[in-house]
Amino acid sequence: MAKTILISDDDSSGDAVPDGGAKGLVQRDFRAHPLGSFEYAAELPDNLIIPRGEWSDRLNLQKKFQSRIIDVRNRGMDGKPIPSRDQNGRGYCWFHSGTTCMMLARAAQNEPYADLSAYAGACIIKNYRDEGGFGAQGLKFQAERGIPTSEFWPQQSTSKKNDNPKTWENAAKHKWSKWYDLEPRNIDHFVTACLMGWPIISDFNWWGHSVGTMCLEEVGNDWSKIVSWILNSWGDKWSQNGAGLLKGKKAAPDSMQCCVVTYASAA
Amino acid sequence: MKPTTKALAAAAIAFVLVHVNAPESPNVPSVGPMRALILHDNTQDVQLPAEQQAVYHSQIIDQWLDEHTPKEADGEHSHRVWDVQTDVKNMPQVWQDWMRDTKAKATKLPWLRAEKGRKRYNGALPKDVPSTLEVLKKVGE
Repeated sequence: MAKTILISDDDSSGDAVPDGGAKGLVQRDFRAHPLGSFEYAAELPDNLIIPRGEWSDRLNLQKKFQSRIIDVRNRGMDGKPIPSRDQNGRGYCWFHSGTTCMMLARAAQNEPYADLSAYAGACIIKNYRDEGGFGAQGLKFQAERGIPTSEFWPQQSTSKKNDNPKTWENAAKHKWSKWYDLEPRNIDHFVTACLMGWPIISDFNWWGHSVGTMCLEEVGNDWSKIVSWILNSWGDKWSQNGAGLLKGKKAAPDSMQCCVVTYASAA
Repeated sequence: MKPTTKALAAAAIAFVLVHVNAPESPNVPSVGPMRALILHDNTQDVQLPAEQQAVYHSQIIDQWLDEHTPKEADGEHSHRVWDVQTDVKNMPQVWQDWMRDTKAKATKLPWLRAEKGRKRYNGALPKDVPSTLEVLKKVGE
């Protein structure tokens, strides 16, 4: 198995920031798109935030019972790991991060594996152009129209023939019905979502990239003590089966939405 | 756990298994393979003890249920973990019935419904992973 990549604030303890894959993040403009402004997206209520005194015990318990989202991912395709998405050179990370989270959330509900195709929504939003965006932009589309499987929109296809009623009928089976728009770089929001098992669409301005945050590896009361697991969209050859670790402020998303409830459906 | 507490817990489980054995809906068959549903509410989960919340995605529960429930037409084993807000209109009718009946029956959340033939549990989700597994085994083995 390939070595797990760890990206850290501290250059001496981490790996270099990978620069080989396509990214595509356009930083969210919070003046144009304020927190909670997207349709359906609410801000996280204060009464849902897990007290800091419980964080360590909760994480230890999740590890003991292998109930973190990375555990769900590693057995989510009939006992085997759910394959990571592959944006294949296009700047569509911002739609792949939400697609990744949808697949993780479905696995957490024990829905069958569905090979969801992120190119569908990204192509429609950008009129087939290779253009960047931000995670919440993809999420809005995913909530309204959904994500089709590769049976209806093959992975990495940019053919306009894919855009037909049957594709969107299938996509409607894979939609979000609830998520929260979390405060950027808010550690209480971030840790709560991780400990609740809510995958997080995570935009990182330092990386120019959007990925799915799965869960925590280490936790503490400030970002320097946080280590999180992400699932990238550069295929399974990247890091450990497509999953890597972010440490410290590198783990703090500049825009993040946690995904709480999806539609239930067969693949 | 002290022996007396253990005995009480076993008695409580036995009570539920014996007394909750009538179909809630004419659409739910009175016999059949094992099926299980954990129903929860994301807006209340943060108030739960961590030990109970860990049940939702614990590997030991998931694997036990995989081994004791059949695969359905969609290729997945017949057990689910759903939020009360989950839209199930795209699911097979049996799951739609289960969701409707379980929501109607659940007097508190999280809730566990597990059935195999006439052996049934339809009650509050036990307090942690070991006690949930104990309940499932009583239904499914």
